[in-house]
Amino acid sequence: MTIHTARIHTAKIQMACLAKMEKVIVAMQDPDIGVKMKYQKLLITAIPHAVTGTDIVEWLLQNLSLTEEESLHLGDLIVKYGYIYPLKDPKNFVLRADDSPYRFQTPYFWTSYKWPARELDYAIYLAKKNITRQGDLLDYEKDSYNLLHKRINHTWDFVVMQASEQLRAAKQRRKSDRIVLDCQEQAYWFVNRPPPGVINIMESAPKRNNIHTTKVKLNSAFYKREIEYYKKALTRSRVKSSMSLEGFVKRCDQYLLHDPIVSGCLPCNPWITSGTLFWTLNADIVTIPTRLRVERWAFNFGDLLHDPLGHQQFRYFLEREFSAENLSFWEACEDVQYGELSKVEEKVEAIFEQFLAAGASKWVNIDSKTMEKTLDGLQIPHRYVFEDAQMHIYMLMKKDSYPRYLKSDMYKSILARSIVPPETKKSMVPFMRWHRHANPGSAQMFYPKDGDGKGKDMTVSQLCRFSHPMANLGVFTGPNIPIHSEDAPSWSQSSLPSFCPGILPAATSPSCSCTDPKSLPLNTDEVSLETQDYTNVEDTKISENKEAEAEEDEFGWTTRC
Amino acid sequence: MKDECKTLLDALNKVSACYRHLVTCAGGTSDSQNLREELKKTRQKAQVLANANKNKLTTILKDGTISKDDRAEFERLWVLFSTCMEILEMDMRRALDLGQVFPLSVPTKHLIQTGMIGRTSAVAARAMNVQNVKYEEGNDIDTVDLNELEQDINEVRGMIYEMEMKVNVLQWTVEAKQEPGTELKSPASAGASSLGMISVHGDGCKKLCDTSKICAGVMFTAVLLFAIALAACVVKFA
Repeated sequence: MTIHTARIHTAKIQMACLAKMEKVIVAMQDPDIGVKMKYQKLLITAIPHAVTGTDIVEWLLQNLSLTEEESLHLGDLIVKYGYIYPLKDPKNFVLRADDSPYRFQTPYFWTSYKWPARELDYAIYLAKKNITRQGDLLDYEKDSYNLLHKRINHTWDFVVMQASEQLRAAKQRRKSDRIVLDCQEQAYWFVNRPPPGVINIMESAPKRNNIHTTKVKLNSAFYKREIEYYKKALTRSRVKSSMSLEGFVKRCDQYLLHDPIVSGCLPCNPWITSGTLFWTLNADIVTIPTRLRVERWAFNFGDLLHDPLGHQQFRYFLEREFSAENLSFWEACEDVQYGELSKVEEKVEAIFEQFLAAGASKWVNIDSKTMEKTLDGLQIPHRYVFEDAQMHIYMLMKKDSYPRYLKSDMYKSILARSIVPPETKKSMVPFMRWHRHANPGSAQMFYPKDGDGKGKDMTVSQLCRFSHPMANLGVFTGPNIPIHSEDAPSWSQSSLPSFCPGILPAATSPSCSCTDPKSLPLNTDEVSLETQDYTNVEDTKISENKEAEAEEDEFGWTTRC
Repeated sequence: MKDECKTLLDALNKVSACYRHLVTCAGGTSDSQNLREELKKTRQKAQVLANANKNKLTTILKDGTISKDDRAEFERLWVLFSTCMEILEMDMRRALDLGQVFPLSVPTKHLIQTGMIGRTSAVAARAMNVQNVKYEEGNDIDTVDLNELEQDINEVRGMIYEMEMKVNVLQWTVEAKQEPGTELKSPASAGASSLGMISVHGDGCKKLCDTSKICAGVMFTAVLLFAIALAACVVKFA
């Protein structure tokens, strides 16, 4: 019973998806382009306006220009939301794309949030069903019936009265109409009060607190706060969008190749292929880092310091230059900032003694003003007491040591030493599943001996891969590649196509690539997987041009046969 | 006194049940132009009855000189009446909404083909206790009717509000007279059961019924022919 009459007509908005479905339904009724209706033949009567599942799917396909899968899904949704109900199997609201009959629901019984199904109506329906079926209700209906009897007990007599009257009113209609009415109501309540085990489509997620519904008192305190807020907002420094966007674009350009989503992961994306080679090669401290990693150190000082290997290398460099105390000081300050609260005091003391005190062993050169401020702050040691000093030293390193490091031999040599791990491709032999683990030996094969011309060749050719898309195709071994060669695994020949285009057609021709069994043992060494590399798009396009079929199975492996 | 109230309430109940039935057909294919008229007439009748009910019950309940049992009975009737009004109001608002969504005066009607093809005049006739319903309105029932409907809804809402303000009935104290399942013993059940059987069999095992019926028919005709043949033989040779 509604107690507050003023609140009855709270405007509830129809869910957008339901409004759209209603439009589709109405469009289906169009006399010209609507769905074809058939007759449902029952025992004695034939009831019109039945639709088959295939008709629905076809109509959706043609009129909404969808794919078959989409139209089937959309039709299924429409059925689930009760706009069309099945006739043959009324307990199963699924759209079957065969000639199972369906019928449209009358607008009164359309699923709606504006007109939610009420307990009272459900009680009347159950009472009606009770009368017609002589007490033969389903279990969950019986439970609901008893529950409702308790809940709306005060108006139960009305429920019974109304139920019997509604049945008498319905008797005034034709037999076929009565059957339809029965089906309609049954379908409506199946959707709005589903039996246990069926998904309740009317269920909505918990409602969030909408800021617009929380009441705010518009008093002077509120306005004062608003004024303060806007005053501060006015004084905020703003950057022109042209400048900030430029900066953003520059950053994106710089980091483009380093982004694993955009540019792919070399050698292979561990999330897709389950190969951990990527992580092994990029471990914290590794003798031979990857090229990308070393290049990244040159972007900015922060990148260098935060990369463990870079940090280590920078420290070696500073030690050579006898200015390692700056870095140590910086590290110690970081430790204080991010370390345990209980140890802050002792750490601060230690730092002072080691770095700042006159005649300290690792005295750092800080300007007098900052030094004064820091020494004052030392009275009450806390985490951020060395903030200014730390920043000063950081800037010093950044402006002075960092550029020198980048120009140094150390950096250049490590850059030269770094490797570019090759992309691993799956071998194209069908019917055989290769183990998806990397053979560490294969990766080591790539560590060129220092000063090895061959290594240089490889790295250079690997760099070429980004400029020459055809280089990616070269994995598939043709007959002209030696079988047992440990120094030159099959994929190393990938560099060849970039210089010898003549080999390419042979390499990608179906006959030799598929049926060359002797190339198999070599391929087992490879991590025979392909990365979800966007550069591979060109790959597959070219392969299509070459009329090599590429099928993708569920792991994104392409097999060419 | 009580009987009068009861009869009034029953009448209102009947009319609202019919109105509900008519509203369920709105927007579908069963005879929508006449349907709108029927809706209007039924609604007007319902409002008249509601007013009568309200006046009667209000005067009785305001009167403090009735006994406790009587009062309890009248409160029960009051609760039933207000629930009925609630249902009526909800149906009226649905009718307004459906009338707006499915206008009839547009050149291309987009009525939903629901499978209901019969006429609803019998229902309306039942509601208004007449034999036949006369249709008088013109073709612009859409717009005119909807405005009137809105006004009627406001009236009904006002009535409900008034009722709640004037009479203080604690609804939860009213207890139902009927136990769960009493409707099964009501006379309505006997008639309704046959309908139930039909609809059950209609939807379900139609193939089975078909074949069994055909077999039975065939056998019957065979036996009949045999009997006729026997009788003919008897007549011939007797």
